[in-house]
Amino acid sequence: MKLNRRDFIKSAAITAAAGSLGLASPAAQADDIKWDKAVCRFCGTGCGVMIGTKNGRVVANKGDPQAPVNRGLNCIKGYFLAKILYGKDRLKTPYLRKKNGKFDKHGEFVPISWSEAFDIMEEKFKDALKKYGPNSLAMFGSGQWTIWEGYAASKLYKAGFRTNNIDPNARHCMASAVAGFIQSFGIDEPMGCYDDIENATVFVLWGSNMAEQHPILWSRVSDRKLSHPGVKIVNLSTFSNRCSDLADMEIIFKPQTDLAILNYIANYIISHNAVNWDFVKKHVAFKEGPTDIGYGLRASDPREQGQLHRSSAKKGWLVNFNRLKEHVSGYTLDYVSKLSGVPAGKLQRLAEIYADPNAKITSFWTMGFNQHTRGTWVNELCYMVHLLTGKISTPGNSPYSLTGQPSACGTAREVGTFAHRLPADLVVMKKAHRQMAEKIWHLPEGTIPGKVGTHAVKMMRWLEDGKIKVFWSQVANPFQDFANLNPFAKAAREMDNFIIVSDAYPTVSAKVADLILPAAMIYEKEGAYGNAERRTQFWRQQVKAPGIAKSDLWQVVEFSKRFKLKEVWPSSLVANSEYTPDTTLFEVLYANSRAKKYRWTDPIEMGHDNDESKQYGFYIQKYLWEEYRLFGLGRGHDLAPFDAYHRVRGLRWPVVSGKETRWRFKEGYDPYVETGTGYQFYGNKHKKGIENRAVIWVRPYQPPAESPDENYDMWLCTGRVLEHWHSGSMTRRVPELHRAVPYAVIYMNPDDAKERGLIRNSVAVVESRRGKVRARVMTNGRNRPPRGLVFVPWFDAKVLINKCTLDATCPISKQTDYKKCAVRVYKA
Amino acid sequence: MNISSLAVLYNPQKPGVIDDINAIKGCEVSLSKDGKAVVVVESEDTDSEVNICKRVMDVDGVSGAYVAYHYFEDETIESEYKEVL
Repeated sequence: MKLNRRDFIKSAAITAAAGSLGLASPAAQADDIKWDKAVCRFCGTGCGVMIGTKNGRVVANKGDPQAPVNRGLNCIKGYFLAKILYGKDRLKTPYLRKKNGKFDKHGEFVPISWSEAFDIMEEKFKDALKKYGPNSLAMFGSGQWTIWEGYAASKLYKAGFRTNNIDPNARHCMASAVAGFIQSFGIDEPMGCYDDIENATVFVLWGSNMAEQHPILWSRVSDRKLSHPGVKIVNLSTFSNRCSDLADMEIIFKPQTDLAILNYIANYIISHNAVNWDFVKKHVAFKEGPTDIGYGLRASDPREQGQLHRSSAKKGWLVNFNRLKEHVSGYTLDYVSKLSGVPAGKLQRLAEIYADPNAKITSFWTMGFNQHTRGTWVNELCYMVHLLTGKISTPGNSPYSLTGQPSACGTAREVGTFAHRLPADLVVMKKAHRQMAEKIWHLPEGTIPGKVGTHAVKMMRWLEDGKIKVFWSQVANPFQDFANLNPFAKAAREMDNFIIVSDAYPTVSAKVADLILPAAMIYEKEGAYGNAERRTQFWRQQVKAPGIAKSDLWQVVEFSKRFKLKEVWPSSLVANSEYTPDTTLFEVLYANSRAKKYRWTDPIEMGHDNDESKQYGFYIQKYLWEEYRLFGLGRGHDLAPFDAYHRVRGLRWPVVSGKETRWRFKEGYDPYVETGTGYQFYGNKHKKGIENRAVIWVRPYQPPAESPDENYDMWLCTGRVLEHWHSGSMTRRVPELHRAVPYAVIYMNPDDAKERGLIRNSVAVVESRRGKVRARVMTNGRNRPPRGLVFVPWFDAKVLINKCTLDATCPISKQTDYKKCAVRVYKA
Repeated sequence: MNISSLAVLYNPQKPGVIDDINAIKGCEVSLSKDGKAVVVVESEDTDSEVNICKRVMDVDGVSGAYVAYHYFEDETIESEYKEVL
């Protein structure tokens, strides 16, 4: 029987869903859609998708049944994956603010050519370099950059312009997790992987609304619980959320008291003789650090006075187990129950779960831990609980930090696009590390500056102080994302500086910019992302970008043609190099003799387009990848050759002899662990006194930077909702998604609302010491705050809640605390 | 023409779940077994597809609804955003 097109597609749809559920269905006939594997561009889960194209357009997408992460399923954001390319207001050409035909900061946006865009950029960059030096330049990047985009940008700034002023939006998202890993294990990223889900008997969520933010991982957790009686879920949060629907126990605690709860659990483990001594004696060391570290605010802030270690917060010294024992003994059940507002019975039950030698525990966390003025500490304290009981690095036993962006791990962290980092956990402060980078990049010694650049929050403060003159943002929305954004947006618009925003849509940040560069989106370029289980995944270019929009890679590489070495490096440095003063940064960093060995075309592309390689005549992504992976080989960060990733559904690093690693630091799973040792925390292999050991840090509870008082009497917590992703620049473009949750609301306890004369849908003002917004009240939604706390999502450009938030950070990680500040809420 | 399919997980002990899903306009349960169901969603545009998906998620007894396949070839996408430029 001949099927019509509708029936045909229907049968393909049924087959796809049935396959992902393991149900039998009649096989669908081959269709006329061309399918290729790719990756979802939203959260850090890293779901595999199949992209269907026809006549140069993406017409369909489906969950990739071969993808081990999501096994053929997508969350509701799957409806927008490919469609997101086709919003009516896609930016298709560069725009510059002009008056009377010339650039003017107070002019109107006028469409221009790429060559005019680069002309004005060149003028502004060279002017700033000449007058103020390289540290007047700054780039704000992203955990949504593809791996080679972040790598290319990092090279341009760190080696080309010789400034470390490059930092990603992952600073707001993952920095505390990174600092926790480095401080405890000496190497970044989770030791476990998603396979922990199918092996755990208990899941403990610490400030992670997985049901909404990581729905596919949540489906695996749900499946584990529903198909294995006895598997338990505990949901710890500062307000009730959707995860509680499935949880066996919900624990709502007062903001910041997670620090105390974890110390109490350790106290319980020690006093109930539940320490895994065999593990602790062989594999753990103890350290303590300063506590007068401040809140990452400006030095003039009263809260920073007398904080002697505000710039050396990560310091530490070795202590012994007895010091930890003595420290945690102060965190009694009674004290912590009062401090946190959690009934003693619940706290004790939680401690019993961690102390149970038979429980296999996976603790998941995201922004609740990371966006925290003691974010590094709270990450470390969770490791403490897992290390004391030896519940780590084995299937199901996993302290697990999840990520919010698709390549927070792959690009921001692994490539090291931070102000202090280089690829594969190298740092700019160490001469040997800089030398290694200089050798791989064929640069003379001393090219990369040893001074840490401005981290993201400082970048904005420096903009306000007039120290940053040229600011370039890619794949990010800084003027919506930053806490306390009023003064920063004002500085960008009114001061003597030049703001460049590369984006696919006219975001809030684009409106603040002087120059807007139109960006190609995910499937309009070849790319690679790394997810939260160390899995690196590649995709090919599927379609062309609209108009003259170009990838972020092209923008960086093409702009580098405008600079000769003599314009950016001192002559002594040029003299020590293998180049001439007239060699361009393009030739040094990207189109060098090593790059040109990677010929375009290449059979691995399977006939797909690759606009950048076609233009340059060599396979630029492959060159950048092969050079980049030299950093990690033999150093615990091994990545496979380029072609391998186009053939598989991702590989989890370290990839040694073609094999991926599921659990790091454990003998039998991790090739870096020596036989007979059981475990080796080899990130600390060469660190004196803690060789191959993980570190338990002694860390106290300390109050937040700002708490409610009589004038501002409520906590404000911000975050995401299921249907929208981050600042909504992509998800809000699509009208249907927009209508599903049309505007950000104030989630509020009904009693708090009543007390203020508010009911559901009333318009209310949320006001802090820094700014205010108006939004509607929601008293019976999916997020149900306790009395005294409101939750406002930050996706809505019309409800810029970051006007209210406080730019206090963890002094170690420099990550902003978006979860706690004081506000008042009243009827508009 | 928009067609999509959802992989739905539901509690098989709860009576009427499949009927409730079938009762949603634009929804058709094509297969179901042991708490797993394949639901085909047909509608004019993604707007209503998303609403249908959310309604399926809200059916009493459904523990999850996931997008398996989405076809939207003929749709053009309007934006509610005012042109900023």
